[in-house]
Amino acid sequence: MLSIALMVAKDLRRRLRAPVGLIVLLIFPLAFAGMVGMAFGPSSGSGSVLPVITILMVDHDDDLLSQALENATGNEEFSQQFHMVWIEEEGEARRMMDDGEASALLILPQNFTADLLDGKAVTLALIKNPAQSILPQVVEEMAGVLGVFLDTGVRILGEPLKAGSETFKGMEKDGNLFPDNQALVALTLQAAAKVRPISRYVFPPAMIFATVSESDVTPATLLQASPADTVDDLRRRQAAQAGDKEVNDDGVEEGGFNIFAILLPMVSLMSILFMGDNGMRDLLAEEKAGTLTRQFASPAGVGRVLLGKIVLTLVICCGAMLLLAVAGMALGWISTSISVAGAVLQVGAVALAATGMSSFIYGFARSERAASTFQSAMVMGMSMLGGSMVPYNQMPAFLQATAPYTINYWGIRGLTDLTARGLGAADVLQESGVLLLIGMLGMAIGWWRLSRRYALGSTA
Amino acid sequence: MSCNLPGGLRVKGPGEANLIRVDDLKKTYGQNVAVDGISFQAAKGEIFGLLGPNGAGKTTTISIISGLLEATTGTVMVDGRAMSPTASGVKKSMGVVPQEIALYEELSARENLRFWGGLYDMSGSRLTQRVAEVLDLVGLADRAGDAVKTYSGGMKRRLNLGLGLVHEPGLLLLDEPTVGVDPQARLSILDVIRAAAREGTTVLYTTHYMQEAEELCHRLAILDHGKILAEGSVDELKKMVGEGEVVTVHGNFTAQQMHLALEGHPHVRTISLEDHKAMLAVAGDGGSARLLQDLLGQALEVNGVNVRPPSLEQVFIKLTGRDLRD
Repeated sequence: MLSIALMVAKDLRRRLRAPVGLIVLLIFPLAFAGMVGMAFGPSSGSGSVLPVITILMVDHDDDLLSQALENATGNEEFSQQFHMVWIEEEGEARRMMDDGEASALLILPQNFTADLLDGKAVTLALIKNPAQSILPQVVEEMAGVLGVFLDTGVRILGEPLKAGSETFKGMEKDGNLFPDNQALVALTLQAAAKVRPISRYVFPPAMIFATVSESDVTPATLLQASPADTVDDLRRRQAAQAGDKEVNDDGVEEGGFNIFAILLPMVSLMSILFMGDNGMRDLLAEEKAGTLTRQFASPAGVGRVLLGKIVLTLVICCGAMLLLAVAGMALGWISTSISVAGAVLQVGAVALAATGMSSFIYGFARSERAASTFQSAMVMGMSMLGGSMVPYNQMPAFLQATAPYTINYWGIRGLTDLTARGLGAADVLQESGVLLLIGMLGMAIGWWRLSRRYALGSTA
Repeated sequence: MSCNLPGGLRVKGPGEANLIRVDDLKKTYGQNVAVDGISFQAAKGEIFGLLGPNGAGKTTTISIISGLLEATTGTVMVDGRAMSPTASGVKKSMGVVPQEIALYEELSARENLRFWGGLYDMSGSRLTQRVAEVLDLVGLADRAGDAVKTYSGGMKRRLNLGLGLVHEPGLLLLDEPTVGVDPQARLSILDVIRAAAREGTTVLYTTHYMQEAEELCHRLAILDHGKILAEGSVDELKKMVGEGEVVTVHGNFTAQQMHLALEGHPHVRTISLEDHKAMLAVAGDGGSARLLQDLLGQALEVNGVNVRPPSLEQVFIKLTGRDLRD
């Protein structure tokens, strides 16, 4: 073992004397994740960069659609970005605008609901705060979307909505608290008949069927489920909900969407696979330099020299992942409170898989060029299919089916479970297990091929 | 019993134990025979040379002895233990200096020496002391901390040799260690080898430089086409040519004319004979002068004559019928 440690230490020292290759491979995932994250995601995962936008609403209509709008904008998710203030008097609202108390004022005109349901043109008045530049623009865009939404909704559901409006008006007139059951059923059926033909194009499935036990998930978890979720996803979310949410120094609750916590593992996987090549390539470089043969002639022999190169590759991959994790934490991309046991397990498994792949390739390649070409093709192919370049679930179904045959898929799945979902070691056992299996298999085949080649004395 | 020679050289006496013994070694690659049943032995502190042209089987022999190749048949015993690619205990007692410069260019001479010493189980103060000794021995103490890639070719050659000596091996295998080296660096390398032998290291040295083998080796085996053609000390081998002088005659004559001219000459033996050139071994005082008179007396047109004591080159020509450079 001492001779293996000596060989690894010597090779690491050589790497440190000429570190450019490794530095580039280390910087690449950080730079790439940083650029993509800044372009497409919120900064440093602490939530939206926009402040909450205050919108004044004046309702001259006070009918079905304006009331529905008031209800819809009152939900919690909407309130996180928009603060809707409903004002009865338009004059008061205009005074507040003059005082700069809101970003915009939206006025719903009289007969808004009736005119809309009758198919007449309706004009919404939007008054923007001239002292602000971006926020009123956001409100204008939102109002435009609202217009499209209402227009489409009325075209599809105009008749049942009109009937509903009349039913509710008649109910008020008669002094009833509840509508007539028959009229309500008729309205519902009418609306359903309109929606059903277009539902498969407009709405995602509202329900999925999966058999889960009571201990697996709670109703709260199911309510948050999306159509793309698998049972495993639900179980993971359940586990995440069961854990205590932590609050960082800024008082921001962690566990929200953090694009960097997903991007960094994605790109890092590709980089680590390339680093595997960097370790094993040394075998052929030393063969060319004559130092490999010289080591074979030493008491270390073929076996320990080969094992030394495999351990070197493993150390390089583990070290690189550790540095990337530390850099990710320093940049605030990864939580400092991720599961240490899970990280050790998954990092070790990824490093082993990368080493196994390189051992396999160098077991068959006869020259540096052949090995490098094959390794590059393998890494790029697996990165494409396994989710290092594009999230694998964004790809066509037939390509998605190939993802589980890549190291990247299992590596990214396990790492993002730790970095983005805050899960622990027990939750990444499957991913780590698959990676360990790939690694051991690759190393065994590579070892067999290499020891056979060198034992035959091709270098002498 | 052994005897010492001037300069600290010594040769094995009868009955002295051999440090390395090679018996009927054979290595074949399909139909090609690289080494064809060679046998030799060398004693402790002896410099034994394997002399032969490229392709004679020298490197293959060294590779088998150092455990890099497995012999097809035959045995190699080092200090009484059988050598094989997996015999790590035997490997510990051997230092191998390959033909090519096999160094880590990014590391310094000291780091290279420490690594190779460590690989042979040396550590601590013993390793530190030995590294310093070897740096002095190969004349690199003042550049010990510099990266090897900044060294000249000669310095790299010397360090290449030093790596084989760092663990104080009982047997040092040198495969043409002076190839491509300038005369000054060559002398330096030969001095280091002599010093190692004086310390008791047995040296197995392959070369195709006659003069180098003659200067350095206590005993030699001349190798060609995988076989040992002759073995012995330099003097013993030279005696195969003759006791007196070697006369090389150049002129406008044919091989046949020269053969007729020399027929029946009592003091002359032919080493090689071709048109315009004859190499002759001449015995006895004044033999060379008498030969020249006889040749001129027979009206042979002689343009030049070179008279020298016998050399290994003439031995090789006598054994193989061709020049070593061929």
